[in-house]
Amino acid sequence: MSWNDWEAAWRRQEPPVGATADVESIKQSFEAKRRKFARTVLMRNVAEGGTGIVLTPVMVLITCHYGKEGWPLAISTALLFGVTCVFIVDLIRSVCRRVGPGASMLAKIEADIAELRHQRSFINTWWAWYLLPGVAAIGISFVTLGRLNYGTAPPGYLTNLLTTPITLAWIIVLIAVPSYFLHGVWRDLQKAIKNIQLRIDELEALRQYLLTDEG
Amino acid sequence: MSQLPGRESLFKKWNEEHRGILLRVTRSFARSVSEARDLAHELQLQLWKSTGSYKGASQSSTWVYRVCLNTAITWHRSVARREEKIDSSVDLKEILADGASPAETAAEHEVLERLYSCIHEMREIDRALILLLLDGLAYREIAEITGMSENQVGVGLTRARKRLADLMKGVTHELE
Repeated sequence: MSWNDWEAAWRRQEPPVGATADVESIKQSFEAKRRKFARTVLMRNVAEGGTGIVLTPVMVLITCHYGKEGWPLAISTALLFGVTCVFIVDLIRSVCRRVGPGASMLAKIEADIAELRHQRSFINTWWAWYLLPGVAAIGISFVTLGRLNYGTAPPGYLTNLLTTPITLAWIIVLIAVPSYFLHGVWRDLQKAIKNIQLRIDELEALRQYLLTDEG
Repeated sequence: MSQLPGRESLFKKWNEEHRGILLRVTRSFARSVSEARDLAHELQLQLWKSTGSYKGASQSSTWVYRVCLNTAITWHRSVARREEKIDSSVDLKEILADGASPAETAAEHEVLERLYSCIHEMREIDRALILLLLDGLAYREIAEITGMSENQVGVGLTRARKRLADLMKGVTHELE
């Protein structure tokens, strides 16, 4: 049996009669999927950027309330706003770089690889653009507010406070609980990086296979 | 450029003119009737979605091939990941019977069954290339769909054709 026989049989394939698409059901199905996707994206954006959008005006108000004395609070506000901006800029970047459904196979694979690589580096550096500014903003706010509100405490008050067992217990809890959650987050991120890497490897292999000049 | 019809009429037109493409892509990538239905539905959805971004710059067949192959390759990778640990054997008899047309003779049906069984053994890119070649597309058209140069298409097709011929030999020996 030759290539021509295969080709002939292949080209005689016809979809069964009446196998046309039901436009209404496709539209409904598409709309349902689109709504679900839009909801997921909205939830993610609210969760990621919403906190910053809500917190920034609150921080601005607090900073204004304390005036010149509370200038370090402006740094906290700027840090929080910066983290929010990173999310927003990344969201816009991701939408702009998306390739259309009618892109060539190679263009689609390359766009997918670029997006996955970006996600990998985004996750790898989360401590620098998310954790560090967040912790710094919270730290600066606590110290500044403490100084502004309790700055007139009698001498030795803080030393006494820090050496009482209940305060020490609180300090341990305050360090242990976030550390536990951070460890969980770190493990999840490592898992995500591993999955992303697997997908990058798959796509790289496909891309390489498409572009190879060797027979 | 002539004015494009509305989304709905464009979708209907593509479905009438190119439903053969949808059928062959589905058969080449799905491994069971339920998978075939799932993929066929996904292809229809993506095709509908793509009507919004079609500007008429490329031929409608090129566009439909691109949308279908991109969707099928992405779908295949996600299904493969999901079913990594499940041994899902290919049920071609059912897939072919499910979409068989009265025009297919018993002999042709057998050839198709062998062809699809071999195509399922090939890598995603080779499947796409063989499908386009069997559909009778020129190198230039295949290059336009895949984004490869014509030279790379030539190399890829030689490799895919050889692989298919080897697999077909194996299947024929097994049947004998």
